Parts: sequence; C-alpha cells; structure tokens
Amino acid sequence: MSKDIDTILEEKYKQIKVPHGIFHIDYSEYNKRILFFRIILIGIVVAIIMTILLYLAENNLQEEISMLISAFKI
Amino acid sequence: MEENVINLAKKGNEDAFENIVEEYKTEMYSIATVRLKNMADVEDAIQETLFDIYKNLWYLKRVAGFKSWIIKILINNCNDIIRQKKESVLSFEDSVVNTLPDKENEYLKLEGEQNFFEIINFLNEEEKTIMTMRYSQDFSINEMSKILNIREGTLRMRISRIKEKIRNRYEDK
Repeated sequence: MSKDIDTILEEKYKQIKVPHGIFHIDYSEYNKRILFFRIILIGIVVAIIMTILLYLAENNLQEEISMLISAFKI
Repeated sequence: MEENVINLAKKGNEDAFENIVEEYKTEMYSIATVRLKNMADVEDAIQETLFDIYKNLWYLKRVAGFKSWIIKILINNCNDIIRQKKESVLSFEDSVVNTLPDKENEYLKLEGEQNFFEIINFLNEEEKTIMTMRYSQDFSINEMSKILNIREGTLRMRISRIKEKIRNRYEDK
C-alpha cells in the first residue's frame, strides 16, 4: 500500500466536482412559493377564527364566556 | 462563513445568499449524493434545501450554528425523498455511482480510477454520510455529533470502525 486510506480519501474528496446547474437559484420561483405558502397559512388562521366566531355567535356568547370563567375559578 | 454575509443574506441580499450557496455546495452535493439513489433525486433534495434556506433564513437566530442548520435541512429533505419514494438507501447494485471493482487490483483502483463516492459505495447510508462529513474537513466531531444525533465518543468509534472496514476491503492481501 503506497498511501494511507485517509490520505487517499482526502484527496478523492477534494476531487469531487459539483455538476453544473445543480445549484441553480430561481428567486422568482422561490418568492412565488413563499407567497403561496403564506396565503395558505393566512387562510387557515382566518378559517379557524371564523369557525370560533360562528360557533360563539350560534350559541350564546355570554353563556360560553361565563362557563369559561367559572371553569377557571374552580 | 462570515457572520456579516449571513446577516446580509437574512436581509434579502441575493449576492450574499449566492456566496453562502457557493461556500457549502460541495458538502451539500456530496452528502445528498451518498444518501440518494439517483441524480434527479439529488437535484430535487438540493433545490428543496436551497428553497428552505431562502425561506427560513430570516428566522435563523444563531448564526454560529449555520452550517449545521443547512446540513440538517438537507438530510431531512433527503430522508423525505427516500420516504416518499419508499426507497431505501443507495443500493450496491443499483447505484448512481457505478459498481465496485473486482477484488483484484482494488487498491490500485482506489488510488487511481475510482472517485470518492465509488470508494465508499459499499458502506451503508449512515456510514457514507459520516465519512463524507469527515473528509469534507469542514465539520468538527462536535458539529457532526449534533447533526447526526450521535454521541461524540460513539461517533469517533464509528469513524475508526468505518475506516477499518474500508481498509479491509481495499488493502492488498
């Protein structure tokens, strides 16, 4: 064996060539995806809030709140 | 990587972001290559990672652990791809990096013809990741143990065992 395995692997690692184009950065695509992600997130939050509000409106709001307060008191 | 480059990238500076990518591209490429089965998956994992870095860079608080953060994202994305495709790790016969050499003259080939990925191809996924990080010279044992969730002592032992495994496979008898 002429060279130690460590030396050979170190040399081989240094010889790694990253293929051209694999690290292409498309900012417009990234920004579109971020925007889409945020819209979905906002949509989910709004839907949750609306559901809670509708539930409270359908049932007696005061009753619900007083129940909550009494639950905390206990 | 300089802290101010990362901070600039956090503020949306594209040149700074490209500098970051340039700095870590060999590590990212080599880790993705040893974990995934084909080049298309490697490309997907890298593109997903670049997007995740771009998207979440703004939230990054600790600049000191930046490199570990990038590699963790990459490894998670590789694992997601593996899970999605229900593929296990790079198999010996069906790999992107060719087949291993004949038993005879293996060491000669090790020094000459074979590339890094071909040499370590017979190892399992985790062993390949450990050796790739180890030879990139960019990761300390401490950083590697945090990224891979392995205790430092165990990691040191594994590295020496894996080296022994490679030596046994390729050494002239």
